Amino acid sequence: MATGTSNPFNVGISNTPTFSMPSVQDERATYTLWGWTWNEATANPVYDSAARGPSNPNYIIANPDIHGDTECDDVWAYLQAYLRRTSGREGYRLRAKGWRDYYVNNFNPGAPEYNNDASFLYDHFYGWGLQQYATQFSDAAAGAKALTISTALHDWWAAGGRSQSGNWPVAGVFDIAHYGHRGPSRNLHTAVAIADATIASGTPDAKAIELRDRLIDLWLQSPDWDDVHGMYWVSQEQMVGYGLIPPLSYAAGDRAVSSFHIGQLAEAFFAAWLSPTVTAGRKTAIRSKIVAMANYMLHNGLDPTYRYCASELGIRGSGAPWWVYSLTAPVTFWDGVYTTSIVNLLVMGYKLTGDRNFLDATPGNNLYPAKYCFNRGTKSIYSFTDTTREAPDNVAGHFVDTQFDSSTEDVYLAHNKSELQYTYLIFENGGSPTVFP
Amino acid sequence: MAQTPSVAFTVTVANFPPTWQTVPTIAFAQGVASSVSVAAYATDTNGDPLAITKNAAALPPGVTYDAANKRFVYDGVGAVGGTSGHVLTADDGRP
Repeated sequence: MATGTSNPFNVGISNTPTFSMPSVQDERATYTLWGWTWNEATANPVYDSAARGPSNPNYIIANPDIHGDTECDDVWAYLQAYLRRTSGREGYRLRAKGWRDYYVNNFNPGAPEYNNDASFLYDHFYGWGLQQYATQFSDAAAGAKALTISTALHDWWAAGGRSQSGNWPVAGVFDIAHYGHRGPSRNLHTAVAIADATIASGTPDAKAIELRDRLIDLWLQSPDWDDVHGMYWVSQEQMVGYGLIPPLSYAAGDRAVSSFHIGQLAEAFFAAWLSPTVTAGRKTAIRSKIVAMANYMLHNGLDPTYRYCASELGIRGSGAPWWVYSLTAPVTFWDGVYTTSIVNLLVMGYKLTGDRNFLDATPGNNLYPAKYCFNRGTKSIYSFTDTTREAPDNVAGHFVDTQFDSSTEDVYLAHNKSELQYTYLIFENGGSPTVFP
Repeated sequence: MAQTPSVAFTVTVANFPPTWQTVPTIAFAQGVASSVSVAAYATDTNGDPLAITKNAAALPPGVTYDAANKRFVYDGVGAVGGTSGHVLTADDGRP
């Protein structure tokens, strides 16, 4: 009989799932596994100018527009880029330090950037990168500021937070995705990091632990969860804010979500699921939500005509999916870059079930897995064409943490202010992520 | 009008052996009964149905291989631990 044998592999039972940031070598191995080629020069960062490059030890972040410009924890992103490499990484360390210095020295109540984002319901407050920086470099000041940020978030939520009710929002009643997912996702991500770090250090911070558990419960029991489709939808008010009504109609059952907000929520949920101190019951429920959202995006993440996701997408009252760029004819613009926003979520779907469809199923027939979304998203060009691509399907256009965007006053990682934050899981073990059902 | 003679012939399609994608480490969460299908890791160019069997490497207590359904099953009871050297064989049933 004709037979074929698999590689030898391990089977285990663990009480705590673990994960380590894949290296740039893992990214190379992934491309090799896929049969892709690449220009080795693209594995290295292309700094915008010498003044902001690795030769400048005094790289400074000054007066960033935290609310208007950031969409990533920049301390985290630059620290990961540093840790992913063994050489040529000093520029990343300097940038991580530049952001660390900004947060430690300048991000205080009363500062314009702090107050501005607080007025927008703390939706761009980051703390998990600062905490990891503190752990990585034994930086007490960074750890203290991360704790301060977590405490501020706790006290705000305890006074009503997004519900603005004067008391903790009530799980099962409060619709946590009302104004979008990114704020309460980032708040949760921060709380998980601070809770774990303080528990590990022997000085558990009760406020961080309470904030973490309450936010998890608010998410898990939120009325804006749609169990039929497996997605958290934003409110009618937010759909108006997105400019979707009209042509959509909330009353008619049309619903919306932001793709990169879901990417942020997936990261927060994944952090909670990985946490050694979150209860097993909450982890089981989180896992279920992650898999359901991944399943939604596997089938409805990409417009089947143009094969891109969108900044906003959702379902009509009829049950038909829609994508904002193709919502009305003629289609003249494509949100290709947002396609990367759902890559990690799809990989999580694979990791938590072992269902290979999430990872690399043959694309088409309303099945768009992580590998395909990575291919489509990372090579999309921000322009008025759906056909111009950065590289062919079998060539890597660039490595995911090497390009920068200086279109605003400060310099940020390009492609939604860090492509890495949405895609790194696909590189685990050189493109063969560990399955942890 | 001249008749064109026809010739009957038989085309034999070669049978290719099944191929595998890399099977990753499978790590069950202690206390959570669950299963992982391995069916999608093996493919057959000819489209033949595949039987998938496992070698004799011992699985951790609480984990079994269900050949009929091509999946590993964890009972949720087995303690923390792990074993290595697991190899699967896919057979298309044809020579």
